[in-house]
Amino acid sequence: MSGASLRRTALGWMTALLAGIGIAAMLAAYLLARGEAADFLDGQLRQVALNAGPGLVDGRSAAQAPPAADEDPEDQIAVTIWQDGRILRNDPGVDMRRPERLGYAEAVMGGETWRTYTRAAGPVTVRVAQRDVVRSEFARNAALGAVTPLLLLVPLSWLVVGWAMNRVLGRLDVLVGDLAGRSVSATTPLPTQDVPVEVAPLVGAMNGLIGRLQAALDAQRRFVADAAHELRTPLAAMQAQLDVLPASDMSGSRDALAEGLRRASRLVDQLLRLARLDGQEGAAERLDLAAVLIDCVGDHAVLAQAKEIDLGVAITASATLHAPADEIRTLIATLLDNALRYTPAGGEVEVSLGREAGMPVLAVHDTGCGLPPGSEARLFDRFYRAAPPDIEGTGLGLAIARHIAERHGLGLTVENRRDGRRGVLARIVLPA
Amino acid sequence: MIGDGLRRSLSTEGYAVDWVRDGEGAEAALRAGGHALVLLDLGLPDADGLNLLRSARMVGNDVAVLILTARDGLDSRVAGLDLGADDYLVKPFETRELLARMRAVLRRRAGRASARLITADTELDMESHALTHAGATAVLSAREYALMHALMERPGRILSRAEIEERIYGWGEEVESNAVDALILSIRRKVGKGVILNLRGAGWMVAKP
Repeated sequence: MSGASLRRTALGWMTALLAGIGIAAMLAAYLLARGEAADFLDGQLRQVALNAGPGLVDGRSAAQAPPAADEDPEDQIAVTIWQDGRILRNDPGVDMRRPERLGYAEAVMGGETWRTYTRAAGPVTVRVAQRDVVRSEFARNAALGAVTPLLLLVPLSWLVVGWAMNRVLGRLDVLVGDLAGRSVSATTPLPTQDVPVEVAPLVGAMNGLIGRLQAALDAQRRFVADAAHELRTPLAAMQAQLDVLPASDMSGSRDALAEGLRRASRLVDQLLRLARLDGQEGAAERLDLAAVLIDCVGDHAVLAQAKEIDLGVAITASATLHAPADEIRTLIATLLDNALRYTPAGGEVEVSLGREAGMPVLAVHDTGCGLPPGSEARLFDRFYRAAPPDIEGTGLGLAIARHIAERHGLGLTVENRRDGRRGVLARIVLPA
Repeated sequence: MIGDGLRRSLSTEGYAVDWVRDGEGAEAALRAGGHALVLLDLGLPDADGLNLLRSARMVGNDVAVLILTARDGLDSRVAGLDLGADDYLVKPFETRELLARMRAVLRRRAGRASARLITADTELDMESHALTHAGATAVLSAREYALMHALMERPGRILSRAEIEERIYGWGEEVESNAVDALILSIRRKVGKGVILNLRGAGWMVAKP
């Protein structure tokens, strides 16, 4: 299972950060505004109290004036005036009891909290009161004003962070494409330019891994090659000893021994070939497939004649190929070799180079025993043999052939003939 | 073990064998000379066989050399032949094949003087036009000889009907439709069917040595 998404993590943290800042800003704005408002409103109260006197009584009470449409009745200031203990004026909502103390005070009147300022001038006492709610509202508004732009920033930050992350991760897509399209034998390191600095160590580590893997593969391949080489000398020694045994002596076991030696030698050859194919590619050249095919057929003419197999060639198209000659020769030789090997004496092997649906196709038809049903899937596996056990073979030929075909983009198929005759049809389809 | 087996096989075949087992001995033997053919195993315990061959050729030693090696990479094969080896045999091999190759090398060496084309089991004398195959010898007609010569110049290479016709007919000469088949039939009658291999649809060839 993969870990948390980078994008989601970044968005989460960004949102949390903005929310944190928002809350802090809101609190700070609220407290600051509350302090400011308190000072300002206190000054206002005091100003009103200083200006209010018995004269105010003559005028209409503020309570009687109709409130302006946009004016909240709660915002109104209540003024109370006493003279010699007698109340001269009072606004609704506040007590008529004269306060003991002068100056600012908090008082609960009529179930509401009020901020009051009381002034005494001779026989006249003036108290100006304002609901505390007004102050809280003021501070709340200020806090809201401070937090609103920050709240707007949250979705905006999602957009920006998402976009930025997409850009950064998009550069990784190139890397992903390179990695995904890589063959097992690719030895070049991954490109490190255009990779974000933070990801570069990861790419570096991957390159290290690729290098170590390559070294391990090389060591493995060298081991197989060396082992095969080393086996050749003892095999040659056994062969040399076998060849001095008088042919008449125990000829049955001598033949069996000779047969075993031949198989071992062939196996060593094919192991070497396989090890060589796993390594660096040979130098490619432009090949005329018809010429290579004729050459390969020539190499098999003696074998065909020895088994009295009618080996025929039909070249009806030309094709060129850019590949190392010895690999293509090995590929064709493997198919020819199989065809001649599994076709009984007196049979027929037909080699053709033609064109099907615009694509050059090299085909080898034989009249051998054919493939047993169900063997198709494993045919190209190393050491798998579909053929009857009495026919000699290493099980490596087709593995080698497929290796070569894949390397050069050739389509290799081996199947039973579909023209009603018994035998196998091996085809190599070249890219058009 | 190879050396021992080979020495016995070669002695049975009537060859006189000097068997040396290291680079020093090989150098001494090469200096002493008098051998018709050297079988050089590149895996000498104390020397690189190719160096040995190089220094022998540099001092003008022209003895026939057949290399025996476990390495069959194209590069080392080419290097060996470039240094002047006459042939190259990759281990493991059957003694029969080694003997055939030794004979071929010796015949080629001799043939250079007497102008003969030699493949595995066939010889064409370019002076007498005598063809020898698997023990049978016959003298060829001019056209038969021209055909056989074309095939034996490059054993193992398939020649098409058109290529053969080009070789056996001069400019402006009328080509008879089945002349090639008739010539091949008559050559096969003289020395045996196996002398020319037929690849249906492709042409004819002689086997490589």
